[in-house]
Amino acid sequence: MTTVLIVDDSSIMRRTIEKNLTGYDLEVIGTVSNGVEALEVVQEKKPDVITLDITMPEMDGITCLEGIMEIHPEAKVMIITALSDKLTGLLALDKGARGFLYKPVSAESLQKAFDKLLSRNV
Amino acid sequence: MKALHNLSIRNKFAVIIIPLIVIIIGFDYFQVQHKFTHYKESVRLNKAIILGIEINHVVHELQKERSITAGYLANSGNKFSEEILAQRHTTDSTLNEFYKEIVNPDLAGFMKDHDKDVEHLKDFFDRLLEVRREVNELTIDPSEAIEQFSEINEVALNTVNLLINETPDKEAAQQVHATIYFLKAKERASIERSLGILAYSENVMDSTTKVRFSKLVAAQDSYLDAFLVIADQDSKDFYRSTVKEGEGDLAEVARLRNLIFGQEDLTENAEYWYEIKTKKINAYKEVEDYISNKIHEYTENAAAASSRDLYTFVALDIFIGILALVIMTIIVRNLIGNVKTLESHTKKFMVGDVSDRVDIKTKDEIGQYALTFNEMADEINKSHDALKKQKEHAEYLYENVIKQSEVVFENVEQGIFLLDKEFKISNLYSKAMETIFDNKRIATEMFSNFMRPYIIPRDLEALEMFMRHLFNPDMDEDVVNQLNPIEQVKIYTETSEGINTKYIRVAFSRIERENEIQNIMVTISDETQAVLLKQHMEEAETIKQQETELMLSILKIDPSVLRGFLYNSRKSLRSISESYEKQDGTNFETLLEFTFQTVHNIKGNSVLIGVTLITEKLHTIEESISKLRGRDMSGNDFLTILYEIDSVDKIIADMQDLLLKVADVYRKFPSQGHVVSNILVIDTLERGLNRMSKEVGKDVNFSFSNDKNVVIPDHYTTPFKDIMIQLMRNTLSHGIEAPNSRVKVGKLIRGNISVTLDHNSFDEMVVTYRDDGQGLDLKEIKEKALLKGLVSEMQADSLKDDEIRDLIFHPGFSTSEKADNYSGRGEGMALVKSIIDSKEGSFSISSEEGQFFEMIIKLPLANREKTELA
Repeated sequence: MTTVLIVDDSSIMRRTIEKNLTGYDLEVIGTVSNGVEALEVVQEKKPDVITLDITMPEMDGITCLEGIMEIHPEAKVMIITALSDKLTGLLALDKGARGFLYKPVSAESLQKAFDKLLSRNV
Repeated sequence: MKALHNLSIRNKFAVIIIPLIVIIIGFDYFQVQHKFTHYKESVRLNKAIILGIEINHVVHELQKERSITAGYLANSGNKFSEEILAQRHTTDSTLNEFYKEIVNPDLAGFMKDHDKDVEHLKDFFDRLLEVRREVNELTIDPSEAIEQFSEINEVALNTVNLLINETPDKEAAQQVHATIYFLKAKERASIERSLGILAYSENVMDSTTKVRFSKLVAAQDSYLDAFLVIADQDSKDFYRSTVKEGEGDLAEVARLRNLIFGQEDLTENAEYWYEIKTKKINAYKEVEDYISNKIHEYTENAAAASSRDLYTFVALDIFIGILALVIMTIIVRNLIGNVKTLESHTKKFMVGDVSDRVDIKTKDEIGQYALTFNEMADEINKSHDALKKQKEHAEYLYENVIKQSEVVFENVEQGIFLLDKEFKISNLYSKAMETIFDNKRIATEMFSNFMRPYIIPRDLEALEMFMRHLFNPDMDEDVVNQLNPIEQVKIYTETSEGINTKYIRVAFSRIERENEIQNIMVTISDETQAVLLKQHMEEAETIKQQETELMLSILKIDPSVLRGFLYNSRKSLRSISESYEKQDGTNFETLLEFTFQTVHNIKGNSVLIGVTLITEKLHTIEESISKLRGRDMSGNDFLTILYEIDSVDKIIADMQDLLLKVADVYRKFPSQGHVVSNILVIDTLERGLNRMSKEVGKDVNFSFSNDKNVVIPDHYTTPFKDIMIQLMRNTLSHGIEAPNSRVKVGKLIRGNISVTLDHNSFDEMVVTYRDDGQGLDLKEIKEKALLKGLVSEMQADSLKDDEIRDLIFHPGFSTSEKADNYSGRGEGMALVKSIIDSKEGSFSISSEEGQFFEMIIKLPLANREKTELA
């Protein structure tokens, strides 16, 4: 089963994403609130998919993404952010992100994005 | 070999035919030469025969003359004297014939070859004259004379032999030999006659002559035998029928000859012998003439035949040669011509003259090939036509499509073009691009370069990154498109009229072919009109909302109350700017406090009467002042506040204008103003309370009683409302408990506020305000006062309950942590006190912890004239 790690500093957001992914043949193996923890989990569990916020305390999403790609380059990273700055988003794609979603997320948009992310063997 | 293969067809024919012609001509030459030789030989033989016959004639006469001469001499000139003369004459005539013949021009060529032989013969013939002279003089012995004649004849016959004996014609050669044998036999017979004449003349024959005679007869017989062996049957038959041995004269010749052999009685006359013997020789002569003529005839025929043969051959040869050349030329020319025709037509066809056909009428392989070629050409033509039609159709369709796309691209309102992998703009783009960007340099420009003047550098950087991701097949198009940095962007274009602001929407979509991203289609729409319209509408909506709100406020609120509010508010706001102008700019803190109180007061009133717009504006000003508090301020900071105050002033002015219009309406439809104003005031309060209670989440009931029908004078409506609002605010914030707390102490969840109007004997308006909240918490008030430094700890301990209660009227006192529109910042009760004081009124408060709070306000009604408002 596809394993998922959720990285977001907002607990509400974490819960929303997790809730929307249940019953969807995905196993959420962890939810963390910052980049440092995220890298620890990635190192340990190598999740298939990682949802990643950009604006986070301690370590921002782009730095975290770079770290993830270094540890686990096969990971499919989906950026989920409220940030409206397109340049940062494009930078994330440059760094290896494969999915992108704007907050707030709906169940529908999240599932659609996951479908797309998982159907592409990139 | 290769050189042969590479020759042209013409040269190939030449290579085949020329050696053949050479061989044929060579063969022909030998044939002609052979036939010509044969012809010449026949002619020569014929001429030799003619000459030989002439010589034979001479020989025959000489033979006769010899015999007569022998007789003449043997009889010493007494006998044969006549005969000899006659015979000499005959001999000379034959000699003349011979001489005539040798100068015959017909024999000129022949004589050249045989000149020596003939000259030799003529020498001997010339001797005859000498012999004849000796005979006439009788100085020659008869035997000697015979010998002389015989010698001449021998030479003559040898000459004939020489002339005719060389012929390659076998048949002719045989005849010639037979003739020569016969001539020799005849010569022997003739000598025999001469000797016989001698013997019969002398009647005796000596033994020498006898031997000679016998030899002659034997030689004669053997030559005749040889003649009979080789002569042809015809000649033999003629001889046998002409010379009949043992019969007639020939039997007599045999008898006379036998007499000579027997040397017996040679009494017979010599003339008789001559006569008889000559008869036999004449028969021989007959045979000779026959066979001579026969040869002559034969050779003449042979010459004619070979001549005919030669000319026929040559004529035939030339005819066949010419015919062969003509046929060959026709065939070769036809072949080469056909090949050339084919070649030229093929070339014509090759360069595109597809209607061309080959016309070759021959039925050979080339003709077949030409037919095949024409069939092929027809087929090609057919498919060519079909292709041409298809091509024309395709061209028509293509042009149509192009035209339609051009029309579309010319007229479509959106900017449309394709980006290639190098991010360059396609040559073909819609006309709208030029209009949108006021730029004509579009084709083949790099899109980022093209956009550079229009967008900010950060967006440009993002755009370049974005396009790169769009062309990356590993990236999902929808994912990338979410990050379109110029999805909606404001651009500035420079025109002759100045800078133009436009709002454009740019959409990107991939164009994939064979699973590869070939191009990106970019669609740009100019949304300026829509955006501006939206902005206008939003602005208009805001204005409309403001106006509606203002209008509603005016309509909702007692005009006199509103008029008072507006008038007072403006006056108060102006007092702020007046204070600012009076200030020397040092004590901003005091000014700020003053401003705050004034604004807060107006806000309280605006909340009460429900002018939300003004409430919100004033709240913003309060926020700004709060931020400035406790900081080093400058005049500039304060100016910002003044500017905000000014905007509120304007709104108020607008409302006053509106109010005047409304007042007109009221004037037109007069009513009992005061009653109406009372109702409006109370209604305003009730509405205000409802609004406030909803905001704080507490359910509060409002009850109003006015048993004495006290009319609130115009100049009190505003103070009344201001006071009521402050009290209500306090009740909601501090008095009415949370619903669950109320349930615990056995109260109704719904709180209650009651306002009662009365009129006392001191001509005062008595307002009783009461709530059923938790009352004043004296302990908490005291703690707050301590915290705020309003009283010292020492003082606090000695304060009585009344004195503690009074602390709430102290400026700066607040029991609420948070500031909002409805609860005060501790200014509320201070404000209430200051209003009452300004109206020279009085008040008292009472409360019971956990039960109620009550405030009784008394305002004098006597001095109304003094405070009459505008």
